[in-house]
Amino acid sequence: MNSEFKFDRRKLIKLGFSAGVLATLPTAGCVFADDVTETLLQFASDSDSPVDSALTGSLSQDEFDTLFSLCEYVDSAWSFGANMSVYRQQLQADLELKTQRQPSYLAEYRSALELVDRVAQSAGSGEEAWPTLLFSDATAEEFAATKLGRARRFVFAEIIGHQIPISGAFKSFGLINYRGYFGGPYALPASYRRAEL
Amino acid sequence: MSSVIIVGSGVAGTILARQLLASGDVEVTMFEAGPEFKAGDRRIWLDHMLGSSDTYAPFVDDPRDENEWFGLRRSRLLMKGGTTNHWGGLTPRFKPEDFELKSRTGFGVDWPIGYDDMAPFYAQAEVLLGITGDSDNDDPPRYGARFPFDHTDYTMGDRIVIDALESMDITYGHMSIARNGNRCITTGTCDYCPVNARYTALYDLELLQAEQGDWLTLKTESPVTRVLMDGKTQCRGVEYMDLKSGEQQTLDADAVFVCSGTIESCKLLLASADSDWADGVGNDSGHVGRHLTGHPVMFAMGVLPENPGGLGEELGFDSLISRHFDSPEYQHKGKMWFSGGVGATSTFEEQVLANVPRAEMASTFNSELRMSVGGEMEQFEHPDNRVTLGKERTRQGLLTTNIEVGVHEINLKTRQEHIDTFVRILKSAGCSDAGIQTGAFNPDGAHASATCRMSQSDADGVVDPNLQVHGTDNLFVCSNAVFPSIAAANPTLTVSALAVRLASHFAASN
Repeated sequence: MNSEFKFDRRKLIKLGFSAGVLATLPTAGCVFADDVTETLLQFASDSDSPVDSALTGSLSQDEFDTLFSLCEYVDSAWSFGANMSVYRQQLQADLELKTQRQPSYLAEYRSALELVDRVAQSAGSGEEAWPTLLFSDATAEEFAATKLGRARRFVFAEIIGHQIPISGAFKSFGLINYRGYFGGPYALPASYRRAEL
Repeated sequence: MSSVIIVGSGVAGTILARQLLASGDVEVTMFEAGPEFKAGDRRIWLDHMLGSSDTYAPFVDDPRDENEWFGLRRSRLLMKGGTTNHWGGLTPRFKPEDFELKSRTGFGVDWPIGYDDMAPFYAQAEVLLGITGDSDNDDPPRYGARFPFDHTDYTMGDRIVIDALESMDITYGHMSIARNGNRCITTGTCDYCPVNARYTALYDLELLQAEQGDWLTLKTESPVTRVLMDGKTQCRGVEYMDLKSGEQQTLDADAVFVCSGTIESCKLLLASADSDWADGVGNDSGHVGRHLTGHPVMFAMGVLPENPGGLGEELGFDSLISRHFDSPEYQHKGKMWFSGGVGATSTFEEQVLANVPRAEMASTFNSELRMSVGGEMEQFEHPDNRVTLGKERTRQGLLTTNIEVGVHEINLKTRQEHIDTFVRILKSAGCSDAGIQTGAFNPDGAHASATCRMSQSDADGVVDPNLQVHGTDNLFVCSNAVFPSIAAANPTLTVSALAVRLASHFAASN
C-alpha cells in the first residue's frame, strides 16, 4: 500500500524544470512507499536548538557535495546565474564553522542527508529529490518536530538563506546590495547601490 | 598609582576606562554582571544572519522584571559590552534647549550644565565612537568640530522619503551614526557587525584589554551587590558575587564609578543602605530611583504601489534624519526626531522557500515597495515614576526591579500628533490609506534615564555636575541615570561625552 505525498507539479513547470525531469514525475503528485513517508515524518525533536549540538566534526566531501546540490538546484531552477564554483568554497568554509563549533549542526545535516538519500532512491535521482523535500505538502501532527520539518528549518532554509546573499544570487534582479552580502564601503555609495535612476 | 572600580562594561564604563587609563597612573577593575561574548566572529555572525539563533536571548532581562509601561526585557543587554551589542548606533547630539527644560516648558528641571559645557566633550566622544556625520550641519552648533568620518550620500530609498518631506516643507539631514566609515561594508546585519564597523563597547573593550591588559581587569559574571562605605563620605569599594564560584567577595579601591545604566545604577545605591545612609547611598533627599523616563517610539508603515527602480534596502540602517520637530517650538509638548526608509516586502529566500516562480518573484519585486517612518519623542518625567528594589535575585544575580510609571496626558496626545505626521508623509510619498499601519511603543530600558539625576545641590538630585554622588568624596555615577531629562535625541553620545568629561575632571583633581 502506498500513501500520497503531494507537491504541485504545475509549480515545477513554472520553475522551468527540464522536460526530462518532469517526464519522470506522476501528474497528480508524488507517490511514495509508506516507509519513505514514515521516514520523512518520523518524530525527531521539538527542541529549538540543533540536536546533538555537542557532536562536532566535519562533513565528508560526499556529504557536502549532496548539500551543495541543493544550491545548484536553486540556482538553476530560479535562473540566478551565480558563480557557483566561487560560492562552493565559501559555503564549505561556513558549514565547517557550523559543524566544528558548538552548537554543532553536524547531526542535523546528517539527518537531512539521510532524507535526501531516501527520497532520491524513491524518486530515481537526486535532482528530483529537492522539490519534493522543499515543497511537498506534508500532513503530520507537529510537523516542525519531524525529520523533514527539522531538515527544512535547520538545513534547507538556512542554506538557501546563505546562498542568496553570499553567492550574489540577488544580483540577477538588478540589485547590488542585499542583507548578508558584503556590499562595499559605506564611504563609497557606488559600491552598494544601483546606478542612479 | 590609584585603583578604581568601574561597575558595568557598557559604553559609559568602557569610555571612562579608556580615558582614565590614557590619562594617568590608574589601575582599573571593571565588573560586569553578564557573561563574556566575542566581537566580529564569523560563526556568531552566520547564526545571526541566518536567524539560526536569537543571538542576544541569553543576555536579556529576567521575565520577572517586565513592566507594561516600561519594559526592560529585550531592551537592554546584560553582557560584556552591554546594550551597545544591539544598539542602532544613532548618535545625535542633544540641542541647547534640551539643557533648559524647566525654564522653557515648566516640566522637570534644568540641567546644571549647558550645551556649551558639553560641546568639546561631544566632539571627543564623536571621535571615540567613530561617527560618520555631516560636519557642516550646525544645528546644534559644532563650533568647527569635524566628525572623524564624513557622511555618505543619501541612499536611493532616502530620495523617496526626501521628496515627500520637501513637498511638506519638513527639514532633514544626514544621520550621525557610530559606524566607522572606512570599515563599514554595508552588509545590513548591524545588530552583529561582522567587521566591527559599528561601535560596540564589546569590541572597544577587546581592544582596550589588548592595549592595557596590565592595568585593566575585567570580571564578568560578577554582579556588584553593594557599594561599601566607610562612614558617610568615603567609599571603600564594592561587594560582589562571583557567579562562577558562587562566592561573595569584596574589593577595595580609591574611587568607585557606577556605570551600570539607569536601572541598575539607582538599584545599587538603594541596595547599599547602611547606618549612615538609611535609605540608600546618596538618597537622603529621596531622589535615587525617582524621575525615570525614556523614549516612546512611534511608527507608521505603508506600501508604495510601484517600485520602478527595483529598490531594496541598501544599508540596513538609518542614513537620514529629520529633527524638524526636535526644536524649541515643540519642546513644551514633546520634541521628536524621525527617520524613514524603504525596503522590499519580502526576501528572495522567503520567495524561494514559498516556491514562487522567478517571473512572479520579479513582478512582485517591481510592483510594490514597503515604506516606513519612525521616530522617538521626549517624554517628561512624571511624579509617579520610580524604580525600587525587588526582593528576589535574577539569573544574573541582581535584585529584581520594581517600576512604577505615570505618563502626562500632553505626551500621550503629542505621540498621536507625531504618528499623524508620519501618516501624512507616507500619503505624500504615494502610499494608499488602506495599507497604512501605525503604532507606538512605550519607553523601555534602552533609553531609560534620570534615576540619579545631576543637580547643583543634594536637595534636587543625586550627583553633582561632575557626577560625584552628593555628600561623598569618591563615589561617582556615570550613566543615563544622571540625565536630568531625556530630550528627544538618543542618549548614547551624550552619556559618552559625560564619561569623557568625568575622566577629564577625575584626572585633573587626582
